[in-house]
Amino acid sequence: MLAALPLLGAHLRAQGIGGDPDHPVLPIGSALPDFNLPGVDGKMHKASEYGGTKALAIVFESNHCPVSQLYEGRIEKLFADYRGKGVTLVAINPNNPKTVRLDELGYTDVTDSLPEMKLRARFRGIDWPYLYDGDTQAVSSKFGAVATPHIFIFDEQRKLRYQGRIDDNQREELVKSQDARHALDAVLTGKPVPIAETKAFGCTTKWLSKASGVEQEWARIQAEPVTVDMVDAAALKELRANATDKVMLVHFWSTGCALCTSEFFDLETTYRMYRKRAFNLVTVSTNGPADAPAVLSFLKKQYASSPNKQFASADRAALQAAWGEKWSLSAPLTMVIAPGGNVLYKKEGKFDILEVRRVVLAAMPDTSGYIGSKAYWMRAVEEMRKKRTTGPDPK
Amino acid sequence: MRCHTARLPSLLVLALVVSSCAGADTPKLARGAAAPDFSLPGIDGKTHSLGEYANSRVLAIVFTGNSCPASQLYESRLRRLADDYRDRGVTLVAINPNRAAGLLPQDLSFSDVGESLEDMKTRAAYRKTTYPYLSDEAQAVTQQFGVVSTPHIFVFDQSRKLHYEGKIDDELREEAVKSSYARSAIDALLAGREAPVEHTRVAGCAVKGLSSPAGSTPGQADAGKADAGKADVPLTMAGPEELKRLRQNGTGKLLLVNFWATWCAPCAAEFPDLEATYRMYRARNLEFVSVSVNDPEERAAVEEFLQTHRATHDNRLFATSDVYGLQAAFDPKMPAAVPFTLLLAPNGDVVYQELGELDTLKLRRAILANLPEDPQFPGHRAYWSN
Repeated sequence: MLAALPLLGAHLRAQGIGGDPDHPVLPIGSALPDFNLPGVDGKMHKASEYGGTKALAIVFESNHCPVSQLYEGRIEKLFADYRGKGVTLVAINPNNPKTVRLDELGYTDVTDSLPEMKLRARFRGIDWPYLYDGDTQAVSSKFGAVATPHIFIFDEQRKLRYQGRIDDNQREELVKSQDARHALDAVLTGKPVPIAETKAFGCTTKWLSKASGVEQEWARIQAEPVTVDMVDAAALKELRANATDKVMLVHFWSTGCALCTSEFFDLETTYRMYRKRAFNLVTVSTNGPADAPAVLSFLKKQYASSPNKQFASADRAALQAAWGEKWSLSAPLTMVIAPGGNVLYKKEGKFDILEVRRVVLAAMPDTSGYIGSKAYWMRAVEEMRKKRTTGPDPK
Repeated sequence: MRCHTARLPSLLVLALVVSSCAGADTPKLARGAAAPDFSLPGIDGKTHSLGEYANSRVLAIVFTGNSCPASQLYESRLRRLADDYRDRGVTLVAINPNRAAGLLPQDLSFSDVGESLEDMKTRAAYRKTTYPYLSDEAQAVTQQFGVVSTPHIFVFDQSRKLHYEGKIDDELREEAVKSSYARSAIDALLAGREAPVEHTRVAGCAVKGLSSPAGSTPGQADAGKADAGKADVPLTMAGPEELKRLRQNGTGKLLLVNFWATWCAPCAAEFPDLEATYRMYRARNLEFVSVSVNDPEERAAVEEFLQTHRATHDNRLFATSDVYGLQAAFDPKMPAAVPFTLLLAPNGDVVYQELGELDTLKLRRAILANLPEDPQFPGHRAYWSN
């Protein structure tokens, strides 16, 4: 025991939890900060163009954050329910993809760049303005956007009347208090907003001023060992049965197939995104055993630290028989297999990496992740399938 | 051979400090000995050897490291020594004798960083070191000099004969210094006189990783055990009352609280650093409570995560799905997003907070500035406070 334990901080004024001194939250009563930001429609949008309506809601949301994703549907309803009542809604993504590591993309198909915001907007039918502030984060900084999602509601004079959460529970079925709607209703009827400030729960804004570790992550990935296991027919059969508790993405490829090599990087990226969850990527080279050095050399160039296999025999009919599929071996074969062996996705030739990711996201269990995320992606996959069977999809 | 160190206040300090025995009574290098040659990597990315300082009238070589509190307390004195004498043909070169490989977390209980060359760069940048700082990871130079504890200074004349070796001065507390041995030796050499004192016994920290007969390091056995099998990872549910109590910090200790979630990647990324930080300082009365803001239905994933990180300290999980209500119960001012990390003084004062991913060094420096002063190292808290 130490002889004397000095009473720490006793000589100081009581210190409580403070706000972020670098990005203070916009105080109630403040005027709408000016902005001029690119949107998913390819145009620039100024704060002034959203004038003239009775209320303006600015909501900070992002692509990668699972909390923000689960609010997309609620934001859509808010937009639909209030647009006829004179409310304008604008979403701003405060994040820059340069500050988002691959291991932060475990719940998403895309990261937080403007092109990928366009993909998300098209995919989810986001028809409210969705603007990108990641380049400088100057606007997000003026608002003091703490997290995604974080909503700010301005009245007709564009004075801030409410900021904080959209509602009081990230699980929609448990929501008791519709804070943003209460604030909008008050603003529209000229009444005081019942609770003007709440806390915004979600993923913290990825400020450019903070170290992101993106470069360190890439250095770590490059240092990971790359190996290839020679496997026989029995091992392939076992792989196909997927007795693991992980959703497995299996990719058959060969060094001679240009399409295979061009899309390989996307698969490894996907592995780096989801590998901390119930997911695994297994690549299987269909090259003959004599090509082993070329196979390893290619995988090393790709920093392919995923489990990699190569069929130990030149007998390609035996390979296909072992796997239980027939395909042109000059083309890649990509499959997603659920624990227990159920095939969730199968594609010969060129695959759509976003489709693959969405199928995987919809298959990973919620209990080991984030309640509601699976349902979000299952709905997404269903819509994707519906579109493919009915819609004018050019593919 | 072990020394009698019963008066030292804790086992940890016992492991760290060898004031009563490590300074050898008979130094390996005595007055008149030639300076051993060396060729070692420095924080400037270059290799430095004895020969490059040939033009210096006096060369002072000090063995000092990052993690020893005594070394830390001498950093500013060494910087001033280097600056005061630079124009008079005196060069000061620091060599870190500690082996970075194999350091245990508790070896770093007085430090923000370890002993690697990268760590040395971090410390030098933080403390604006102006003299060369070299790493002797292989410890060959250290053994040639016969250095067993830090800080230990050697003063050589122009022909690189040793005139003084031992303490930098006679008091850890700078304001109490009466005899500045190193400066006196340098002054004497510059004036063409003999150094007044040729040897003093070094009191400081044992060099880390030096093979010695008394080299059993406490904690090593524990560390080995912790790596095997399933860890005992407690997880209790936290309702409003528990969270309110947590905020008040009734532990009587400095308390680190981290709010996190399994789906929050920055939380997962920083968690190993939090665990390492806790292991570094827990023997100095740091407590760590992790609070998962996951839904109670996600408990299995929370347990698995804590098991992966061998989080053997106090862990809590939000008892209901009412995240906002529980956060407000902890503190109405608490930001709702995660990760959120706080350092609470025993009286409940927030002495550090970070929303979003941590800067681990900043957190460690805040901890060091707020841990109780160890009577062995008066001024150590102040060192970390500015």
